[in-house]
Amino acid sequence: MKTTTLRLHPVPSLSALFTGAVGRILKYGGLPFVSGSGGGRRPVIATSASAVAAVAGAAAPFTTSTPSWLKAWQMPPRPKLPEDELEEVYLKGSGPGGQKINKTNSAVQLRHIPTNIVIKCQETRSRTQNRKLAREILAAKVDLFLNGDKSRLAIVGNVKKKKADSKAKKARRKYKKLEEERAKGGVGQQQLVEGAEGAEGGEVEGEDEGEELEGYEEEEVQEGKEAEKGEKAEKRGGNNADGGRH
Amino acid sequence: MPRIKPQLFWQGRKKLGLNAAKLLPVCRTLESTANELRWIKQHVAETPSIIPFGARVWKLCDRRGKGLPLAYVLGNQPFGDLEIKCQPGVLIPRTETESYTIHLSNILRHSLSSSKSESDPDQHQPLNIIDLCTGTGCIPLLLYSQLSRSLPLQSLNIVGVDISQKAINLSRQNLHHNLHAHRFPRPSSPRDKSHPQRLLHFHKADIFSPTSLDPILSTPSSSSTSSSSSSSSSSSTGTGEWDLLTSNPPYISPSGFALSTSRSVRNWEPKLALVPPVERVDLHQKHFYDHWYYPDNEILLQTVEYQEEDVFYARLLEIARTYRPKRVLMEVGDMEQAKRVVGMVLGDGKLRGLYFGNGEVTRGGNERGAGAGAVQIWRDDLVGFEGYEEIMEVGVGVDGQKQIIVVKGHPEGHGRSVYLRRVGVVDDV
Ligand SMILES: C[S@@+](CC[C@H](N)C(=O)[O-])C[C@H]1O[C@@H](n2cnc3c(N)ncnc32)[C@H](O)[C@@H]1O
Repeated sequence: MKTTTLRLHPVPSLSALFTGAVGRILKYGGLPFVSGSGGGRRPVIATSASAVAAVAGAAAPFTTSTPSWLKAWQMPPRPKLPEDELEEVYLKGSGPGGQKINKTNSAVQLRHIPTNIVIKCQETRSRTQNRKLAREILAAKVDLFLNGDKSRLAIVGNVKKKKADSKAKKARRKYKKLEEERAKGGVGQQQLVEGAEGAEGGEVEGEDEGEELEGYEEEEVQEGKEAEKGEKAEKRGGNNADGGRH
Repeated sequence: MPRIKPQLFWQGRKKLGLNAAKLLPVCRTLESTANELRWIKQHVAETPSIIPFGARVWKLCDRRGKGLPLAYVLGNQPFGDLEIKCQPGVLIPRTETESYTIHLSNILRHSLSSSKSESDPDQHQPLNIIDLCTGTGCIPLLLYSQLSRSLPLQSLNIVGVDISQKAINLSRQNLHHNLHAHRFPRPSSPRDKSHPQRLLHFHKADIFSPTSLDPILSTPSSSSTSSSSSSSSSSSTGTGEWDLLTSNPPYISPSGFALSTSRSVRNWEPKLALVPPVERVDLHQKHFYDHWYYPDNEILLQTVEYQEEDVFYARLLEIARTYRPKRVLMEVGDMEQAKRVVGMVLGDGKLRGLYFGNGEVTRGGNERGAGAGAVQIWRDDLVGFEGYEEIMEVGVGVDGQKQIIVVKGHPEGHGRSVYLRRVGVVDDV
């Protein structure tokens, strides 16, 4: 069984984008921000102001339980925000601009009006590209803010966590199997274990995904270290987009 | 220019390394140093070479650190969705130019897609666009790219003109560069009659020289052997009309060049692209407009001569008078220059009639009705800030009659361009 719906390209430059400020430290690193649109499907984002206020104001906003895993093809679509909820924050360039200056000022700052989440993107030299990137990053942040555990990022995160767990489990199992084989030499035991795992659903993707994910996870480890620095992780060296609520 | 604080220097060096220490004096802030260092590294990583990575990064940082603009160091500059090749001797395209060019392509897309049904034979009528003082060719190339995508059935005839052979060579190179990177479809060859026909050409010409410019201007559709509608000149459509004339001409005064340009512009970019030569001013000295006034009938300027940095506008407006393009967009240096250019338009009876009509004064300005013509000033960063609009009242002419000008773009943005739309032409955005 090889399903490769979930594609996580490690994009080193993008991994430097930011660490999230909403909820827990987020790993935006490997998300395929650059590759294409989210397939045209609409996100599961509460957009009315009251819904936003309700979520923002609630004491325990994310009480609904999310399945701890989802199959890759059940991943929520990459979120997209409607243009009329977005506002570009005017970044006044220094100096007269035009022919008199040749600064490389490509930064774009974008605000999601209902939630007041603001992000700045100066990842690329192209303002056009930064405007696109800013929209994708902001959509992910808003999704996480509004949908918490149910957001795409959280779910992607969960799947990976699950995968890591299952990897550890596999290692343990392998060890156990060796032990058992040494002791009894039976095969049935192994099948039983596999079945149990299937029911639990630890394995969501085909094996060929493993490599890509591993690269991704390595990045995650680095980011984890950064995150230990707490607040400082918000602004990293060479980092280009800082996020946060204003 | 204030010196970099030693503290910042050491901080940068410690955080980002020796390469960054080279960049910091020109980049000024840690943030932009980090950005440029990353872009340099990305560039080196993407261009194969036998020289080791570190050595190449070091060399580029060194050049950049000496003040060479980043676009010359890396050899290109993003412009919309295009990559424009840059080389010393030709001006680097600016983000401000990119912004209004995108806005212009949106205007053209909307006005064409709303006014035309699929069966409309007008689609065979090419959209004629000419860019004077084209430099790298960035404006016509981006318009070509955007329009061929957003109006896939529309025939296009886009022309770029520059006095500099170096610029013309580079603009042609840019055409091929983006073609090979599959950023837009291949232009048709002139004899190719398949539809839509898309033409994109660059010509070397001095815009002040009628003998070299008139042949280019007088044949908007170089392939318009289709004499079907050429004689029956219906007012708004028809072969032989320019739908859009754009220009980002040299607009800095000699003193402005010495005092208010950044060092990297002054030292590395071509003066020919920035400062109108004095000879042009002498050559073109003539009575252009009468008087113009500002609110309260305050007379701002009564001379009949324009300032020397405005000489290209005088010439561009002379061209507009003769060839009556449906839309004109001229980049300017600041709000003051924008106002002067507006004054040149409104102070000239013929131009005023063409682009403003005899529009009676209506407060709230916008309600001049479809097809009323428009004289507008656009500020920086129109894209993303389309909603902003201010009304400016300008009194013009001997009688000091008030006219309404719409100023678009974020209120904090510098005045960046003057947009003219001919009476009878309708824009949707
Ligand atoms: C400010 S640059 C603009 C280049 C390009 N359009 C852009 O936006 O990046 C002005 C250009 O005008 C050209 N130029 C200067 N004098 C000219 C003239 N008399 N006729 C035609 N082009 C001229 C220069 O060579 C230069 O490329």
